Amino acid sequence: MILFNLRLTARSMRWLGAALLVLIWSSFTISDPGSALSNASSAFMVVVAITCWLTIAVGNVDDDGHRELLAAVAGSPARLQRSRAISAYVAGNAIALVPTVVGIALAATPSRPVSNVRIYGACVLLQLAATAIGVGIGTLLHRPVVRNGGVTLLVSIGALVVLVLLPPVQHVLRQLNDDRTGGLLVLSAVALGAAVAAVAASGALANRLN
Amino acid sequence: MGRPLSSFPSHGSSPPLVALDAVTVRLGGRPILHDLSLTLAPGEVIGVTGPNGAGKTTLLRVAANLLRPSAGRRIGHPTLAYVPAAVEPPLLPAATWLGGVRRDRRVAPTAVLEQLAFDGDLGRPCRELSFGNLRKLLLADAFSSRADLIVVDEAAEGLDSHGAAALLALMAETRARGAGVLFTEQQTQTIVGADRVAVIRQGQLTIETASAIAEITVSLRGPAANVGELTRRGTEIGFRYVTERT
Repeated sequence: MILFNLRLTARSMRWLGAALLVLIWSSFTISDPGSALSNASSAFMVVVAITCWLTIAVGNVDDDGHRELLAAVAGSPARLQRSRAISAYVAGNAIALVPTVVGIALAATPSRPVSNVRIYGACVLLQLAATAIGVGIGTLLHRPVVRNGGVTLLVSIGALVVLVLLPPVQHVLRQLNDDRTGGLLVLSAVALGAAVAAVAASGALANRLN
Repeated sequence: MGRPLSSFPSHGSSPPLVALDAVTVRLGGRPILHDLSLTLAPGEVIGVTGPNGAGKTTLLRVAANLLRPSAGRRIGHPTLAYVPAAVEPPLLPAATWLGGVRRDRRVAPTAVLEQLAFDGDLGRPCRELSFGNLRKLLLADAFSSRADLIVVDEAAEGLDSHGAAALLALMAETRARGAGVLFTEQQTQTIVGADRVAVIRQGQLTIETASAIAEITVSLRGPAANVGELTRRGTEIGFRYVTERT
């Protein structure tokens, strides 16, 4: 089902906007790269946004009839919702590899000594956390939970703004800009937990609202 | 604790595949189904008919676990195949769609497509198929699956006479392998394939019996000559109720 969801989304071309965002971020980073951790910090919100976009694209890729057909195959609307969230997580991480790799490959020298293992680990962890947050937001904003495209757009933008204003997120991103990794593990754990909770909630809502 | 599935009346020796127990559904505050109970046994084909807006599709969606009842319960966890009445053609080529939608199949879907006289190109996108061929594609997916329960909304919608006859045969095959079929139908084309017919009016089952078929057939189609033709066709493919109703 995951592969099938990805095929449908690939055919829909609705991933193009997310790919364009990555392209724009990459071109800015190539022209003026920072350290690897600082690049990862600046890519964080882009990765959250593209994964949120992809999650909504995967969720809205078909009409109600086709979604119900697939929900019956999956066993229930909640199970389909879960499989679509996993599909989006896979797709989001595949696309997010581009900024992660670009950020590491073109990195300038860090302002303080940091081991390569720490840099790679932090970049990967931040990517996994950002994609989890994107899925967590997106899974609550596509059909059958939210059916109005305008509401989806407004709420997703609002959620991204609130996210970037959250003090713990700001703290971690500032630390990374300063080539430190303090708070990253906690942020990642909270992000993954919140994403799992959001997917469970969207599944429960899908069972009620389908 | 609710009643176990085995305690519901079944038309076979084994417990029902699925049972709806005093189900009520309200959508947007409006009652769609009211205190409705229905059981479907393994190897049983139930046709649901009734006027537009009576709640047929809602009943199917509850039976297929796609909609939670506002009150009452759906009991049973059969594996499912669901054919919606209307679907926007998927973006994939028909063969890719059939290959991806489910892996585990009882028979090759192409064999079922052949039976249904599918006339489209499987290599082309689904959106290029005619409405009838798209319906046949969806039916082939469902009837080639290993599902214990096949739920079909507006069963004969878009089918030519050959397709409708093939659908009756597929229902008979499904019954023979011990799976169940629950379908809705406005016309009489496929209602003759049902072991039992449930008539819904204003969200309630008003008739639930095989002997109602003749009455329904007459009321839906009018001239008795049509009933005779349908009876003859039903007899040809061996439906056991036909002698009851003639």
